[in-house]
Amino acid sequence: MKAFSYLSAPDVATAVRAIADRPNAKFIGGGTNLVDLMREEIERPDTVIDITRLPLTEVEELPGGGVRIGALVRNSHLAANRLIRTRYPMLSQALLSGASGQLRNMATVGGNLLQRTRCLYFYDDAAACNKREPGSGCEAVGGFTRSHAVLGTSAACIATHPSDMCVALAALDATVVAESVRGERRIPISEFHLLPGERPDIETTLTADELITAVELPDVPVAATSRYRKVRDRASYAFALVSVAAALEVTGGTVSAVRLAMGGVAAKPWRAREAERLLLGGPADVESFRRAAATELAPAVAQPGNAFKIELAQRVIVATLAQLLAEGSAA
Amino acid sequence: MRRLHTVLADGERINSCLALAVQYADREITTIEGVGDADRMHPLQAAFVRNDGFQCGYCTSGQICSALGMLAEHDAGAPSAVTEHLAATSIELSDAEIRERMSGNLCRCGAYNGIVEAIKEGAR
Ligand SMILES: Cc1cc2nc3c(=O)[nH]c(=O)nc-3n(C[C@H](O)[C@H](O)[C@H](O)COP(=O)(O)OP(=O)(O)OC[C@H]3O[C@@H](n4cnc5c(N)ncnc54)[C@H](O)[C@@H]3O)c2cc1C
Ligand code: SF4
Ligand code: FES
Repeated sequence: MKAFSYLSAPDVATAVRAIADRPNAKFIGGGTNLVDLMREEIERPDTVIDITRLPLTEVEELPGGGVRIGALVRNSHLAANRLIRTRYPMLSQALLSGASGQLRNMATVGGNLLQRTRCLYFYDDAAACNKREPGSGCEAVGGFTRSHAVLGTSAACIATHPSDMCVALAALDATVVAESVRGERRIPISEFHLLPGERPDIETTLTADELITAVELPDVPVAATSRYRKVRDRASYAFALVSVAAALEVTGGTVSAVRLAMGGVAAKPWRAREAERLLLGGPADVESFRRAAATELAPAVAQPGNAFKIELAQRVIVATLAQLLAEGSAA
Repeated sequence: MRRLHTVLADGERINSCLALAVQYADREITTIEGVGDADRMHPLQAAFVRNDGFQCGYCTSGQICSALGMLAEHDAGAPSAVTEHLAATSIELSDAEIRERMSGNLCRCGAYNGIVEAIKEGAR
């Protein structure tokens, strides 16, 4: 690991000033992704600014019915929070399906948003990788692609964003709140993560000197009947092959509200807007779920190693919506 | 995957291998040495011995530290990925709940059945 200096920021103003003054500095939250990447020398900051002592650890109700989550709230604490468990169960389930109990006690909301891909070639410094070293090529193409993307890929990169939490945030239309010496900025989650295009090394619209201070959830009544379903190579402690965050409300046999997002299929959490548009106002039955899922996945492009994801994603969408439908009519 | 070590920070289980020590300077760290020793075993350690909760013993210190943290989380009412009713205030610690909550600790010997029995006994 490269030598680095460490400082701990007592408040937000000090943190954003410290990063603005240092060209090659990084914030550290739980460290569960950054420490790993520093060991591999994929991340090589000169300074690490510890933000875990910042007073950003609360989950508060907002006046309009939404919720504000401090950026330093640990993943385990957020998942166990009563407000989240009852009003946004898909978010609790997404968090609980990620990593392990130990890691969730360390991982923060801000760090989870900015965690980097688990593409094997990104981690292997002997391999060509446009994300790690722009312009060097992409060894995943033609390689081992079981975990890679089928939507929104480019010739430069086919990696996925590995977060479970972010899939729920995408379905819930969350807002990321960021602070820098220039002031506060609010970024809709749909505009936070970027598709790779020609620059897969640029992963988000956050600038290097911005601190994530909070994530805000709007009031989403349909989220009270929601689920997160994750499919992976073993039952627990593994990244998603495909995952689905879904919320469904049915009134008189018709879909009156729906939210749908997918993980494991793209470089960003994939909000299934096309499927939502088809479902809303239509009959709440498996046939319509199938049609909506097929339409959403129609633009998918597979690699030899991940063609199964296109069918799997559709089946997980249908199964999750069908489960919500059954639970709703039983209630 | 890198081997991750479990320790307790103020009673919460974390992976020391991904923690920068300086970040935890103001928290109390407990390793297996602080849990108990051969002369004065913690009840959970005794339960691991009684229930064959290990074979080679390589993973055992992590399993026990993790189980202590896990039981505290369960006592505090925290749900898991297999909890059917998230809104429930008390969650039964079934075998499935124990297995899911302990999934961050791998055992190459496959002593999982004994580990689950030991934790059930230790939780009583
Ligand atoms: C073995 C293992 C298994 C895992 N499995 C899963 C899984 O199944 N699903 C899943 O979703 N995740 C999984 N993860 C990833 C885990 O969720 C992330 O590592 C974690 O969420 C990152 O949070 P952190 O606070 O530790 O981030 P850090 O490592 O501290 O930081 C990550 C990045 O975010 C930046 N950063 C952190 N906080 C802020 C902030 N407030 N403002 C600006 N920048 C910030 C840092 O500079 C760094 O670049 C796994 C990780 C491991 C090690
Ligand atoms: S898929 Fe992306 S991250 Fe993986 S090797 Fe190619 S460029 Fe790198
Ligand atoms: S007892 Fe040998 S690895 Fe668990």
